Amino acid sequence: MGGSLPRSVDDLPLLPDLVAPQAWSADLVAASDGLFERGVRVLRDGEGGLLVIGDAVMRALAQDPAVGGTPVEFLTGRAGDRVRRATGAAPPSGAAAFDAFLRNQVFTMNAALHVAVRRVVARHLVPRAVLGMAGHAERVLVGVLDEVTRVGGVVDLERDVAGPYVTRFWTDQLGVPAGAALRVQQLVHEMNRMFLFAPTLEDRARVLAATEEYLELVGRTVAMAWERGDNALLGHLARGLDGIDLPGAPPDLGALVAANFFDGFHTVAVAVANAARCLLADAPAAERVRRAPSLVAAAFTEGARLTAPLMLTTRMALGDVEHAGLRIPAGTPITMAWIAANRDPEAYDEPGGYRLDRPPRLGTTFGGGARICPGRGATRMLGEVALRALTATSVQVRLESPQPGWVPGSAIRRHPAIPVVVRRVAAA
Amino acid sequence: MPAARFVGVDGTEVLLDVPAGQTLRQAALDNLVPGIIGECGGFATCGTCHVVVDERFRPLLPAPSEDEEIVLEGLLTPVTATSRLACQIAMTDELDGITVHVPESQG
Ligand code: HEM
Ligand code: FES
Repeated sequence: MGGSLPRSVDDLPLLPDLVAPQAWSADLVAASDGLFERGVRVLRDGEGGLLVIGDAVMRALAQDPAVGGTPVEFLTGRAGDRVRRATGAAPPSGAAAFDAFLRNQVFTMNAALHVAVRRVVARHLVPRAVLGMAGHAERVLVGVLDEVTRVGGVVDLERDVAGPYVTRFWTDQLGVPAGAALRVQQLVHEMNRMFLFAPTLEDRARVLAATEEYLELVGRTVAMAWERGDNALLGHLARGLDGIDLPGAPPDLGALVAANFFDGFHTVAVAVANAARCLLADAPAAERVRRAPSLVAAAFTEGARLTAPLMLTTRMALGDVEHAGLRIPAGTPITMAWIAANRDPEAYDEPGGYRLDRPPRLGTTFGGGARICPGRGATRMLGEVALRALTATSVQVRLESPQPGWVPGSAIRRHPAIPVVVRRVAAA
Repeated sequence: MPAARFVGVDGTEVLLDVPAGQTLRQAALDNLVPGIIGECGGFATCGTCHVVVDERFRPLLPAPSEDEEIVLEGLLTPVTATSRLACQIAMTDELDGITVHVPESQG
């Protein structure tokens, strides 16, 4: 067992006492593996909150309704503090768009508003709805692979394959014109800097500028597509939003879509690229999937377990919380290191191994509890379509050296680049 | 204590004593009943605790909430008129003997 927990959070170990800040920032996955070896499952994060890495305690807390969404004020305050700490300077002003972006996200909502807005987004991403989108995903990916194989040479698996694939998929689904897809992909890439642990003033300014343009572009094009009246998904979302009569609800359809499908554009591309690299890097596993395409579901789940792109998010204790005797006072920020729990040796045999035959077990890749990611079914579908296509006998994907490491200092698990050569192979 | 019977697709049966107030999802997970996953923790949002309730017990269950209906309608596995989410069925003395069938797959 991971050891019993103390009664008071003050008696929990302190992260900076156990792991040097640079080591945590460089690779929090390796650092949390080391913490497991020392029997640690919950810590104080050194910023006034808790850090959860253990599987069982994370599931229990994620399922506790009192461990809720993190209010925008906390997130923007912490973002400012991080800029100040990293640079010694005051964070740039002009964050209104960023504030609106966070405010319209289901992540930051609580109570009745959370339930209502989450329902609007989630009901159109249920398995049956997602299955109906799979043919479209396949067509988009064929187009992307046609482009990269026509040009030839070394391409980047995330930027040139996964990124255009998922961005075009969602822009089509949401009625955003094809011409805007590339710009959306560039903007979400810039916004990715919001996940840095120690942003510079320039990072912050770039996030704010990109967020403003992203909200304007997606908001405007979605509104135009809805007015044309030919997009069923937007019609459903708009009617759902119309039915919410609560203060704090997203002001319009564009704001709802831009804020809540951000992960659809961005995080899914990282998930697909990471999972594809995991599989391609393991030649015997890739060969097994090539021979038995029904293994793609296991291949995606396993790759996502090891390389979960949204490594951590912070929840907030909305009231006093008690777990296994540990009392967590109301107002305590609780950071869930989702990717760490995916490798807890108490929950997984040989946790670092890539195994297609693991018993079906649920990781924490997509969070947990009532706030579990509503986009997980769509993400799995997009990932499985991609893995099937990239291991098809008609395609050859070769990973080029050098093998990439991980981008340090970010809450997103991604490689700086994944150079590959993609070729079409004539049928034998 | 009231009891619940879980029947797998291959006909295997698991009979469990379930304290009043506990959900069938929790009882199934505590006793490792195959086929019940319960990914979201019992909040009627994931649909991985789907069971088909024996017709005789349907009138004894409260009607599904809007969230439960949304989730059931969205499932890929075949859903019947007596499909329910096990996390939304809390045991009562009246439900003693309830039989539920666990589908071949969840989601
Ligand atoms: C179609 C794509 C996606 C959409 C639309 C989406 C949307 C969302 C939304 C709206 C939430 C907030 C749910 C709530 O608070 O009730 C959420 C939560 C979450 N999502 Fe996604 N997401 C997508 C893809 C992803 C991907 C690719 C990952 C990473 C693999 C991911 C990881 C998570 C996690 C870990 C949470 C839980 C956060 C928490 O509890 O603090 N999502 N997602
Ligand atoms: S446990 Fe998720 S719907 Fe029942």
